[in-house]
Amino acid sequence: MATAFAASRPLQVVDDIAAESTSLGLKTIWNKFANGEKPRILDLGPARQAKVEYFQLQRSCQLRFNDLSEVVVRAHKNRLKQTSASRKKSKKKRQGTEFERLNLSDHMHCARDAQFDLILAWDFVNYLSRSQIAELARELGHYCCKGTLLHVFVANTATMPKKPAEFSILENDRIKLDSDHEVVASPRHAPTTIMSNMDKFQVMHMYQLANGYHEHLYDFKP
Amino acid sequence: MWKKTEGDETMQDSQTDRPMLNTPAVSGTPGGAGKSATIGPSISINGDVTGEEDLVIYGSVEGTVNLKSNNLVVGDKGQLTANVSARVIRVEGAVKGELIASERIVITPNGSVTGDITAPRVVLEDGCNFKGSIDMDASKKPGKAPAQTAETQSRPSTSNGGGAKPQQPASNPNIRPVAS
Repeated sequence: MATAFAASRPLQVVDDIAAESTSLGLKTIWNKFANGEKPRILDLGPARQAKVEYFQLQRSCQLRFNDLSEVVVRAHKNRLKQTSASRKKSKKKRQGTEFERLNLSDHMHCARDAQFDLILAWDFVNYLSRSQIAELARELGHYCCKGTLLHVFVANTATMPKKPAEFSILENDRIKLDSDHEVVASPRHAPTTIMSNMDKFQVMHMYQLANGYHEHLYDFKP
Repeated sequence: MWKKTEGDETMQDSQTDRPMLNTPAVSGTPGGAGKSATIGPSISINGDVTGEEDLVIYGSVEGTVNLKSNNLVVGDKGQLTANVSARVIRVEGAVKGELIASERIVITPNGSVTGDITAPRVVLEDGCNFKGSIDMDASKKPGKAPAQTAETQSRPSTSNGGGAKPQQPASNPNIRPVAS
């Protein structure tokens, strides 16, 4: 499938993340599933009624919640601590700093042979280092089959919420963010950085959303 | 003066999702439509529970609960380590196992479910704790609740997950505990 970049203009940095935005990625996803069987969806965020209602509206589907937000928050906190400590060390030593492994297999409650058609990873990649993103992609690969879609939000803002935002999906594929008022500096992972750490996932679409996030849609190609 | 009617004894109002939880300890009669039975907080059942009337569980059940076309409420102190099949299932306590409902499953703010649920309509109220999958396939009808498997039992337990307790009789003749 040809890679499409919806944002042809230079990427812009915005100061604040807007609360609501239309998700072009979701439109793309439902177009893909329009004629197929009911999709099996793995949501890595917390279980929320708004999400359930949205998926009930779309079609009958199988939705699994495997909330990794606590793991991601803990990893991000440790990462900030380590980064702060490493600033005091020499550049050579800093380059060797290895961030904590996520040990995601301990936190995945799906059967090992379970497979999904869509995985929603929300904004977790913003809170992970490159090696942790690679670990996430490898772990998720266990639950993918050819053509599985992975949906992520990448912050392109100067700051981002201190903790991963809680996303609600509203009517007409609109995404609503409920986030912490406390903010931290955004890592602003470059799209190429994310792509190069996504293991067997290949980028399918990238959209620049009005809320300052990039929306990435990946396709699993084993 | 308020007068209790037959309709008041139905366990759950489909319009509001609110269950009747002030049912007496033993209220069911054989084949009594609109009645509900209660498993009290001091009762624990180790085995299978089947019945043809609505049921409220305040105690603990390990095994299976099969109510066919009737409703189940797991009260706020209720603990189930069981696979459950019913028409409407409302969880205010803790459940570990597979839930199948032909109409609706509701998990209230204090409710906790670890396991897979299947129902055409699912309501997760704010603050509830749910870990597992939701299958919103309306074509699946609740039949006999699948027996607890080793895999189900080895899932991560909830904070309220209780161990095996001595078997005691159910508080209603229509609810039949079967030794496992």
